[in-house]
Amino acid sequence: MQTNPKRIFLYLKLDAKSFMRGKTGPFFLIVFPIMLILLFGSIFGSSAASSKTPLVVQNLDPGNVTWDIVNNINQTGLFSVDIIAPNVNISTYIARNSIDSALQIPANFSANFANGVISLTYYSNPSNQIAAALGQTLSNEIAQSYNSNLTGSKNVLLVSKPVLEKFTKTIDYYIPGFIGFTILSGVFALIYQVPNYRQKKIFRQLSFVGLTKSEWLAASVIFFTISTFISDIILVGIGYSVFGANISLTVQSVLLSALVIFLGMISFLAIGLLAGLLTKEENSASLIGNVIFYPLLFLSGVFFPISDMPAFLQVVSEFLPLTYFIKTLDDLILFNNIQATVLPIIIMAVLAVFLFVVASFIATKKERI
Amino acid sequence: MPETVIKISDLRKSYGNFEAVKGISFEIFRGEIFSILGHNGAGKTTTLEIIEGQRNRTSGNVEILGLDPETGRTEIIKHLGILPQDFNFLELINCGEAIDFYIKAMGAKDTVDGILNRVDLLDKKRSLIKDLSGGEKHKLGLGLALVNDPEILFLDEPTTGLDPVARRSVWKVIEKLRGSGKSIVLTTHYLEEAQRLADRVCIMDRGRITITGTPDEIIQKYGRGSVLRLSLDKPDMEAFLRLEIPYRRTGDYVEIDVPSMEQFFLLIDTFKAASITVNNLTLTRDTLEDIFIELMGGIADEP
Repeated sequence: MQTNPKRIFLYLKLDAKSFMRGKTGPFFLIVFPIMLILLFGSIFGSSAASSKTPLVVQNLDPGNVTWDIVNNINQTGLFSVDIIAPNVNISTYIARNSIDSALQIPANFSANFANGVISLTYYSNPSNQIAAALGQTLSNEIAQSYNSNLTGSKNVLLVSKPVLEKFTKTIDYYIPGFIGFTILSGVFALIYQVPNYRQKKIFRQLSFVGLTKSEWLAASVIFFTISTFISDIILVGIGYSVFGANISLTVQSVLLSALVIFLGMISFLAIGLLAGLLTKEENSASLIGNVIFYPLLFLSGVFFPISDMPAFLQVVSEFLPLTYFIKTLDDLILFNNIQATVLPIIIMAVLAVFLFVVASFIATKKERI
Repeated sequence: MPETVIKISDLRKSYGNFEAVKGISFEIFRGEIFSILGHNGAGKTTTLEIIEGQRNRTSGNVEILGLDPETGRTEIIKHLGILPQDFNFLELINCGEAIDFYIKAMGAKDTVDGILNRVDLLDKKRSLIKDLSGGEKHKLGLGLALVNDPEILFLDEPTTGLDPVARRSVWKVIEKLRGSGKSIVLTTHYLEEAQRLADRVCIMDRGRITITGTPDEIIQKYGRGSVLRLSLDKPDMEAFLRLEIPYRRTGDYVEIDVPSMEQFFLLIDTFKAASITVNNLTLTRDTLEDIFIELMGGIADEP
């Protein structure tokens, strides 16, 4: 039977109505992207200056030199320093005020240095990795700075800067990841629908009007492409207009980003379709969907930078397709590095075509979908 | 000679080693309501799905409107209306939208209101499918099956799972279609439904057709005729026994097989002549269900 665009359009309209009347559909299409960007934008959207790590400092040393160190810590821009009086019990203060990082300069710090020994006490919450890491850096810097002062060298200051001058907000880095999240959600586009329609014999019912499986698939692809773009426009729009995200909006980067989003959506929709075809019940499909979704979500750089992961997980992430979609979106949206994206886009196109052809072949050739 | 619209010859369907349909043959004529009866698993739905072109057959011939459903489904489907077993559709679509989709996708000439009116569902035009009762859902399925004004209508267990009121409401809609020139193929395991609606019936058992005919023909051929049931006081009972009429005792009642109405009147005259007073007299006729139970050696499946 020949593909009929009119039937595709009619089913698309019907499916869209059904989707929008559902409780979960509009939530994931509109509300969830807004929630995601507002939540992360509020947490990370502010400038680097106000995202300093709070640091409590107690200087028990009577000498003036140690106050220079405190001033130097302030000037690093990494900490928001809160000085407490020498007579305060620092352990009690930390416990009462839920402090994640505190530095205590001992009373005999200057005197002991003359003997070649310096000792600092850094209190940190082990569950707060940033506080712990900064504490280590801080101790090294203080030791180096103090040593330089005594030997008459120039003072060494710790200066924090983003990797690219124009980026001042953490939210900039999250936007490609969030777009990756919407692409990955394509896994769920058909994974429930296929076993649900099969169980309820809706495919059969649709076939009575002549709607073929290819037409159903075409309508589904159009629908999920439109809905993914709507989610992404909402994400980028709020990130840009509300939180002032610094993203590249050249014609080339926008068009290529749209292409990457489309290829990603096709790939993950095809993965979901395959899983849906291989499962008999919605519950099993849900399990498979989550098994695919969550490892990709957490290991592909959606929420956490891959460089922050342990080495073996970084190797794992290299094998995950979503990693490349997000990296390419990074290149396009953040760095406007078009040249770097040519080869990855070709590979993504091959992957998308391969997955889609396999999934649609199985879907259309099965006697009863 | 009525026009044949469906002709099945030696149809077989196997799933691996299991043979679900074992060489059945029958014909269905234009304008008749033809019912396929049988227990669950008798092969009714498989047969229907092969005729509709939804399943491929293992062997045999199937002709529907002169075409083979395996090769000519695209053409055949334009002339068929199908209400599948356990009808379902997109739950968050309302009745009007579902029918509108069918009308537009099939290029049909009917209107949404026209179809809803035919299945007594006009007041549910804006109701979502998920909010319909079982009977209303089946009537919507029937409405969708009628959108293209089909020559042949397939109704696969259209009232299974419905309460008696809803079942009768669906029957009313089917009865309205009688005489419209449409051939209706009805599968059911409700014998009462077949007896009330069908012009001809075939009974399937474990993949084979055991009986074909009109309900009256089947009842006459395989039934015991009518049964006269009555109760008698003690002296009348003694007088009745002296007449030596063959009978059965069922509790306090006496049952006598009456093969014809002549025999019935003869019996009444005999009682009068013997001055026997009968109480609680009823005359019942075998139903299709009685025959089915008798022949199948079991009880018809009820959901």
